[in-house]
Amino acid sequence: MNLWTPSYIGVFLGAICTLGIYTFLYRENKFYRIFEHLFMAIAGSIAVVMAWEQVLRPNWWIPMLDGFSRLAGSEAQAGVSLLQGGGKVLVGLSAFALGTFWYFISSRKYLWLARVVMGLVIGATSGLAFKMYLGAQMPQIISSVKSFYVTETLPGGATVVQVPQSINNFVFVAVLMCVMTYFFFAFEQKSRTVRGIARGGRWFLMITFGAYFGNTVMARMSLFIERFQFLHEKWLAPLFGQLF
Amino acid sequence: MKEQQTWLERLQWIDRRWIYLLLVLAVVVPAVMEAVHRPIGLPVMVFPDTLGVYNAVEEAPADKIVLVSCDWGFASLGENGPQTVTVVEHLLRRGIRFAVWSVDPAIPGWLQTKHLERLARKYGREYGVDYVNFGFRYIPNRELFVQTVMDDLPGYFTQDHFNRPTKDMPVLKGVQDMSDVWLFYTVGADPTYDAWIGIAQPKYHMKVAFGSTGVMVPQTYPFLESKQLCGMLSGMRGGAEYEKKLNSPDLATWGITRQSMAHALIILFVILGNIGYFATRRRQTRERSSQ
Repeated sequence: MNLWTPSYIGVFLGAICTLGIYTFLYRENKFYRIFEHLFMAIAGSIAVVMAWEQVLRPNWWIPMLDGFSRLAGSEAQAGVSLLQGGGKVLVGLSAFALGTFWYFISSRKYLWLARVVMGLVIGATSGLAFKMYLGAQMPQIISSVKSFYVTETLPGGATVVQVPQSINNFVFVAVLMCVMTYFFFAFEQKSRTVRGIARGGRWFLMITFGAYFGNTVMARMSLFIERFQFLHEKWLAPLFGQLF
Repeated sequence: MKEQQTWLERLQWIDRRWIYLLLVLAVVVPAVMEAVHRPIGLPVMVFPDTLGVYNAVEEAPADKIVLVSCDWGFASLGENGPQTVTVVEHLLRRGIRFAVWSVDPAIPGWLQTKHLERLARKYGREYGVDYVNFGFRYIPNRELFVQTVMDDLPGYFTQDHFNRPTKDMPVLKGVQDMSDVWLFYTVGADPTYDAWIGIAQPKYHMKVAFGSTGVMVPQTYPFLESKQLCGMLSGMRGGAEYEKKLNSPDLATWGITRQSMAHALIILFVILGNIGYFATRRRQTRERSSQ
């Protein structure tokens, strides 16, 4: 079986690029720089092509051209075509104009044009963002009010106290209070008790940041494991299978 | 001065390249053990956050649809890939209708050719009847997208990945808005659930689940606690747990042993580093008190 299909050549090149980037782990070197620049160049060019092929061309260019052809062509329902065509051309040209206004951010004389589109975008999204924030965060505040005495009614009708859940809720509220005390800057924290609670809040924050760090390490190791799987199963295994 | 340091203090100054090498070995050794037929099989426990997603799919009724949003790219394939594939397999196994789309141009084709077609053949499901791939969707603003889509799903998704019209597809029969959606499952490296639970969920009360990279896990737990998210797959661990529930081991199960060994090594290095730190502090305290 021929190993050197276009697909495997792509895998081979990908493996070389992966190992080239990993040479940075030993030390800074030109080999790594070559692959880093190669990656940046490919990523940038793909982004430009994708922006045109997937976004601008189907959503702006083709509908605008269709509008122009409807304006120019003579069809049975000419009036409707003119209206639809004119609408598409107007929308397309307006989108083009508003899009180019962004580039005036580099101009001192015409900066106000960029401010127009910035204002439109910020205005359109800020209201929704406010709604989204309230919808996402209000249930958090409500669910933070927890009972320290949690009971469960069994099928027979008896009520039992859920001790683990009660303790869990107490710990939750205690940690929440400590952390909120730490961030309370409106008045000076003169009392030793309040300062102690705030110090506890700081410790809880540090524990949380440690958990963030641990999860970040887990995420980075997952990325390496996926690359290792690619090198092992997709690159080396077929190559060694061919050689031996 | 390094020449006066004890070996305990030198634990802080281990050359990072040795650490990288040992981490690579931690990943390679399980592969070697598997090659000699002595696999290191560490147990996988299924946690409640993963169980939440599993139960949501298990309880999905036949008359509702599930939406799967792949808000990730190949940069996070190791974590988000198994999270997507394993849930999609569960949906196909149960015969629950679902629609999938992605914000990355390469993911729809990869998912379709590498997994959806294979799994659909395995479970006897048909494209357009049991599932649909809406393909790449450019989403410049998630809040606007949610606001648009939640009230008129077929009005937004007029074409699928193959540029075919979706209007008469049996999979979307009876689906108008988010009230016809049982579960919205988003997989990503950002908090892509925020707009859905902030804008769509208060109105339509559908379940929302999240497949997250490890980095996002701590900040997502509050949403699990408040039951805004019904479940979460946490990194590669979540994918491995879900694969265990499905009894369908794949990339995540393959990788979780390696990840556990790498974590154990990192914990060892953290302990060694702290031993070195406290040894240094003790010496400095002694030097100051003797002066």
